[in-house]
Amino acid sequence: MSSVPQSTAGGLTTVSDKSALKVTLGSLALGFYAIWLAVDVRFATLFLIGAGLGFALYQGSFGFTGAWRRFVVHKRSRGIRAQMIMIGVAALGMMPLIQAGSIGSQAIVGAIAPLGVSLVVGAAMFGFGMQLGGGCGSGTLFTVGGGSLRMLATLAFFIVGALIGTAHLPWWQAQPSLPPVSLAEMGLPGGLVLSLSLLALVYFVSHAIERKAHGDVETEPAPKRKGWSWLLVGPWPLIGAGLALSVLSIATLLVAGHPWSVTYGFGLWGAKIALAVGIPVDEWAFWQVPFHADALRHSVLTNTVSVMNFGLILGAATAAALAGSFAPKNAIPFRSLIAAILGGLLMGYGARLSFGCNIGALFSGIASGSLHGWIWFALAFAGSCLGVAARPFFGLDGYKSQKVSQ
Amino acid sequence: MTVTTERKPRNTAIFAAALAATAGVVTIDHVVSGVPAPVASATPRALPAGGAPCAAIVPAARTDTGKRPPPPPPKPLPEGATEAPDLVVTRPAN
Repeated sequence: MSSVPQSTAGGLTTVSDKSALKVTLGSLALGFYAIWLAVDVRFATLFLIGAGLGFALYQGSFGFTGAWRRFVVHKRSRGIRAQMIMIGVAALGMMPLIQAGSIGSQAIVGAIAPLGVSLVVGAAMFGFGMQLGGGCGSGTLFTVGGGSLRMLATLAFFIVGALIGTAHLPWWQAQPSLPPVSLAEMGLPGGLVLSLSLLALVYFVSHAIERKAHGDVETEPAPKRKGWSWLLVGPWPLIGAGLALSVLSIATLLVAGHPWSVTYGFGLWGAKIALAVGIPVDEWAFWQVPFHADALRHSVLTNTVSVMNFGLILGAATAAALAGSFAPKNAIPFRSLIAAILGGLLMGYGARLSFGCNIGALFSGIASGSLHGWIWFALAFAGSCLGVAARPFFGLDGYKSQKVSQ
Repeated sequence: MTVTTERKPRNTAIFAAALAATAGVVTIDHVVSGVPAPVASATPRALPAGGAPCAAIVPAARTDTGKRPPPPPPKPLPEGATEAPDLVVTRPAN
């Protein structure tokens, strides 16, 4: 492998991993071309949008899990504040598009889900699991792309959990539930103002908690590298990464016709694998719904979510190679591995029950103006607090950790 | 400050092998499963092969004069879940 210093600026040496970079860039180009040939340019475009999302997630280390833990343990809110800005900017673009219903021939739908027992239980389960697993849906993918073997275990059991969730979802959906509520029911301007006000409320409350605890509030650090090289090799400021994610999520809505989603693909992959080894998942109620049956019956490359997930992993791997940080760690402590497995199972199952993960339910739900996104946020945050308390049982840092880390 | 990274040729080799294996599985799935047949439609802008079900909701119709019809009215708020993949209602086909 050839790894050479690429640039030295501001006293910071950048070491890009050239061979890994060749592999990831080659795979991206080949993937784009292959999907274009095998399916069409729309799916190839979604693959690239996914790659952009993965690149931004990695360069900003933009995850919900670490940011929420950092807030509840250390009362540092920079991550949560960046998330609120990200969702707010996305809502400004997405809610009008969803309200319009279509752009040209492209139908556009939002992530607007019912409010029921399955949402409450699933979101709390997901929040608990993400602290054990060490990442949420997108976090798991982009850290896998960055070479984390522990997160590969989380992903594997995320898929298993999502598949089990599809087996049980009909029962959960038979439990009490209220119809979906869109804040845009009060009119688009009113819905937008209410959504942005709620996001601002979370922003300023977390800001106030941090100021009360520390007497100051963390601000975005300036790029560590002079010039624009930091755009390629990172790290990006959290807000910068969040804004990139907002723009790309709006692009997803325009091209895919639905908001950004991650975990649907996991359940589909699990079902395809199960079917391949002789488990008749196609007889399950979930997989007999025409939409899901079509997804199961046809190529995974014709599934918008899966194609974006593939791109996301490769985009994150490209970012890791550019940053010179693509370095799998092979040694995983046993208890940490157990936490990864449990976390993956809980997240997969919880995401299926609650209509998505931090991306599909929280980000896309709130940015679509759906009340279920807010309920998901509250319940997942509560579950996350319990998950932080459970981490020491698996040899991971919990509330007593004094080390401040993002 | 210097960024030090652990660089093992094995890392890239493992990653490349995992990518190749994944690509192989996806290729087999694609060949075995194939893409959905294009929707038979008189519209010049037919749904793409493999188009997502979400995209199949409101295909654009075009009149004989070649003029686009006015945009459809806003979708009514859903009574069930929307067609976003995570939210498709669980109701078995009859």
